[in-house]
Amino acid sequence: MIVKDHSLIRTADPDDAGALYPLYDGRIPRAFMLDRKREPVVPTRDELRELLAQKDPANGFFYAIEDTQGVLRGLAMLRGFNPEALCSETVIAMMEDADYSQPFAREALDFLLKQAFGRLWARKVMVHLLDTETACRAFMLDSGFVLEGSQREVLYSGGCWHNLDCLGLFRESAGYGPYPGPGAMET
Amino acid sequence: MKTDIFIRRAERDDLDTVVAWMERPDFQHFLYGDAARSPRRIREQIVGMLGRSTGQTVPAGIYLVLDSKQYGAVGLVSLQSISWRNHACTLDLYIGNEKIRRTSAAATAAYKALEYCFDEMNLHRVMAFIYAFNRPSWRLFEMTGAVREVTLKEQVARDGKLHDIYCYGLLRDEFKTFQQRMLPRLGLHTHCVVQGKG
Repeated sequence: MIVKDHSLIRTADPDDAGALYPLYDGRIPRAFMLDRKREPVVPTRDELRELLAQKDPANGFFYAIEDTQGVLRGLAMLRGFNPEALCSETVIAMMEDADYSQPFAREALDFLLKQAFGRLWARKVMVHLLDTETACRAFMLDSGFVLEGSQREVLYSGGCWHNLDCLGLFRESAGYGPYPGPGAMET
Repeated sequence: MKTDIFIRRAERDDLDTVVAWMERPDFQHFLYGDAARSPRRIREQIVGMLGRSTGQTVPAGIYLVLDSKQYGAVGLVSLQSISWRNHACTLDLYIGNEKIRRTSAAATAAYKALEYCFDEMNLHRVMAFIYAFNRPSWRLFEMTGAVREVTLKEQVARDGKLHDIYCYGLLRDEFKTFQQRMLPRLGLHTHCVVQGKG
């Protein structure tokens, strides 16, 4: 459990499934719900509970973001670590768009970056966002992420096509210094 | 450009040919995954790719062999992550026969693969991830009207260096424009059919 000035960040538990379920509302497509085929996966509450119960790091790390009042405000994820590119995907999914401008969102992202760059020794983290996720996109760009491009018309939802943006942040740009290279951790 | 290259479903008889391609260093350079895979592992992987359960009506991937009376089997087309909801797939095109890799036959092979995607599978979008150092490949894809949509910076390691990966997207309208413009010049048939091995 990490206590920050404006938030409390902890691993998401199966019991959080009910509170986090609105994030998986299929009516509003979000990039983190897309599978390899770019099709949205909308779990049931039970499936979400099972997902949060998994302890295998290969499935990713799930963290709940609480505000100082103990209210669950969102979900932070680190997943899909690519050992060849030393790259990981980050997800910050807040309950409300307005939450991205709150300090707890920034604290949650700082925590994820610290996990990725400081503990996993990632070189780069990436974020995928649909064109519907404008608040999150602005938040990520403001946090130093750089747009690497946009895949056009990858998802058909709500009667129209959606583009998928790809944003990246290197450890140097996030202030973590250059990657030490192979062998640097050896004693 | 006249060529007799055609596409057909990959079969078990193609196994030795595909394994032989995948064991060659010049071919592995462009492949994703562990270059140290044993021939047995490669063989098992390909058998898994070629196998198809009769009960599985929607395959996870489609594998087609690029064949030619002149050269024999020259390459492999892999259509992955097929989404019938989004009418999209990811295309991998492997030219195993190095004699034709930089010839117009390779362009024809790419055209045949795309024609199959749009005119037979009725897809809306075809995507391809191509390493930045594989210039002939992405140049070929650009010729068809595909757009470089994303540049994944420093995403793949080769020979001690990190290289970019380009993500190309080709939409149906763009391919149709290319098709209308190029068909008369290419002298290709307008209809693509996956042929049996015969």
